[in-house]
Amino acid sequence: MTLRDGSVQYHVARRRGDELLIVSALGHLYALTQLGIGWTYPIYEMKWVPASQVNRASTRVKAYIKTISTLSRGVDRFISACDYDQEGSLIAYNALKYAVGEHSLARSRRMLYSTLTRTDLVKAWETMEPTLDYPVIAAGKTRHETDWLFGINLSRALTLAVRKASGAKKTLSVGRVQGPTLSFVKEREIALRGFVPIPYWKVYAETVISGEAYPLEYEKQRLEWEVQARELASECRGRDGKVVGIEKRSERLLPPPPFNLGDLQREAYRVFKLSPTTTLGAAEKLYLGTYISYPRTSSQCLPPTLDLRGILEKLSKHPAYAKHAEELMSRSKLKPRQGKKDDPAHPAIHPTGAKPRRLLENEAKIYDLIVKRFLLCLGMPAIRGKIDGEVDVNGHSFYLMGSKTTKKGWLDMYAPYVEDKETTLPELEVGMVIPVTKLSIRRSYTKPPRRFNPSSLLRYMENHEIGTKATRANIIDTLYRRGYIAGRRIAITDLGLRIVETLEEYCPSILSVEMTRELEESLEEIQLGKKSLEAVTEDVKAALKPILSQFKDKETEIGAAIAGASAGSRVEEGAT
Amino acid sequence: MTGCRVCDREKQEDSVYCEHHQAAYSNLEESYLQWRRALGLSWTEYLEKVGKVSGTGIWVKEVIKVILSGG
Repeated sequence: MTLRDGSVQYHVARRRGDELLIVSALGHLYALTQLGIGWTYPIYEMKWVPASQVNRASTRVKAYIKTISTLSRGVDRFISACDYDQEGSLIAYNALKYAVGEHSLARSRRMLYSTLTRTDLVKAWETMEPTLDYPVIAAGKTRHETDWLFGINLSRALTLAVRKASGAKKTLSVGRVQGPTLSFVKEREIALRGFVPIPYWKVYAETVISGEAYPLEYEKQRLEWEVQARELASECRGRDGKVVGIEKRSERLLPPPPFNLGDLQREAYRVFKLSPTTTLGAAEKLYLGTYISYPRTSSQCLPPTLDLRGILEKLSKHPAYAKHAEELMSRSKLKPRQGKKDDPAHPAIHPTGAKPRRLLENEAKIYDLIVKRFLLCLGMPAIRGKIDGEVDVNGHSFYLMGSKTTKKGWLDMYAPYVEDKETTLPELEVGMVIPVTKLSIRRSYTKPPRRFNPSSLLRYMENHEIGTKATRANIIDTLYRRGYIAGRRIAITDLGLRIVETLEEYCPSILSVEMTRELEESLEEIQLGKKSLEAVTEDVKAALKPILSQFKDKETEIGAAIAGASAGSRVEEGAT
Repeated sequence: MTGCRVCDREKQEDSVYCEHHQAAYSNLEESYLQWRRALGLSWTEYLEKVGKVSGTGIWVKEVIKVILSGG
């Protein structure tokens, strides 16, 4: 039964004689704020308060807190059924501690699940943990508190420095993940702005066999000197070539593993040009609709306990997936391709089989990608036959190269998201003479490194273990919002560049990958019960103290260095 | 220390350029050998050519402009 308490919906259910009251939390109901007053720094003391007191946009929070508090009266036990991760565990803990009261914690248990399907929820109910998951809560709490300490202090230090130097009221921010990420963009920008292209020459040749034209690839990709290229052209132009060798081989293309969040975000960008944030938003909607498993996962593995046949059975009822689902079901054994990355809390993203209703355009795109990736990871490898014919032209080696997919396997399941490039060659024989019908040389230049786009920056962050699967996309959005970076092909703005350079000079540790990685390791240790929240928070405070004191001493110089750029953020050419 | 010959940043010790433009100048010097071998150009011809290639970095182009204008 669904009821309302003012604007908040909640549900009443019965199970084995117990009455259950189910209410959602609307994300974080509580947020950190400073203890004491004054917009200054350093600030080391904080407290949790209703999120509406920190962020005026969180207007609905009050109503949810009131409903949770009202419904908790007379309740004899509580169950945290939020998402199974640090954030979910902390959301439930804070709601219980502050909206219900500290006494509720000892009477609370934890449900763990990765999909919102009836089967999984019933199983999670029957096997729930006897207490809250305190180590996970502690790790989540430490992440919030340490990020708050870095963010509030360094952002205020930057903002006040600029205000003091120029009177400008622009709000600047930096955090322990923002810093290294912006630094990555800066390093790339420096390489681009200082790049000197080097010339080289490429040979383009063609032959005609049985009326069809085929490209002839010269043995060297690049020639460094113009004179070499000209000599080659004069020695080969108008000559015949002779096939002196043929090499045939076949290549097995294994299907890719199922998606984790980063892989899904990258693939959605490659295929649809959807930003990582849009992809995450669509995936979360699909999860809440029970159509897919929990998307904030690092795992590229499907556990052996997952009912693959059950999911395929349901997917076979969808006309779009029926053909491949039925084909897979007809096999006696199903063995998914597994990736290297695993996540103890959640499996790789996979469909539940529930048939989606009324999906928005982006949700439908993401759903299709996830289902097809799930199907293909159960598919057979593709087999591609390759043939290389070596052709001698007046002592120079050229190659005729062909490839043909002899068994489509999983490639067939991933249409239209994968392109199967084929070049069919005619029958070749050693000793065969073929004409060089065209030969030209063209000058090219080495290319500067590519600018990041939101997807490649996300991968770079992932490779350097910066941020978490849940926060990376948001960090990139913040850098855009603050005016530090711009364009789909990401360029650093003058303001972004000045911020990094200033931090490099006065507190390089905030830009260091090592510092944020060490903190992530500490959070991991807290989650494993090997370290305490207090010890890690104290370490962070100790690390911040000298940085902030140096900032205070040099406030005017720092402010002046940044102020010039913040007045008008210029973007380097080439950014779109 | 006074300003960089190209921009308003401080110039580096023993240089007329700031950190970024000095790095761009060093890259230009290092690449000249490869350009000379490839095309047999003089230093000035080289600067003129590099300045027109689309992939050349903006700081490199700024340094070239200053050098060619006799700065």
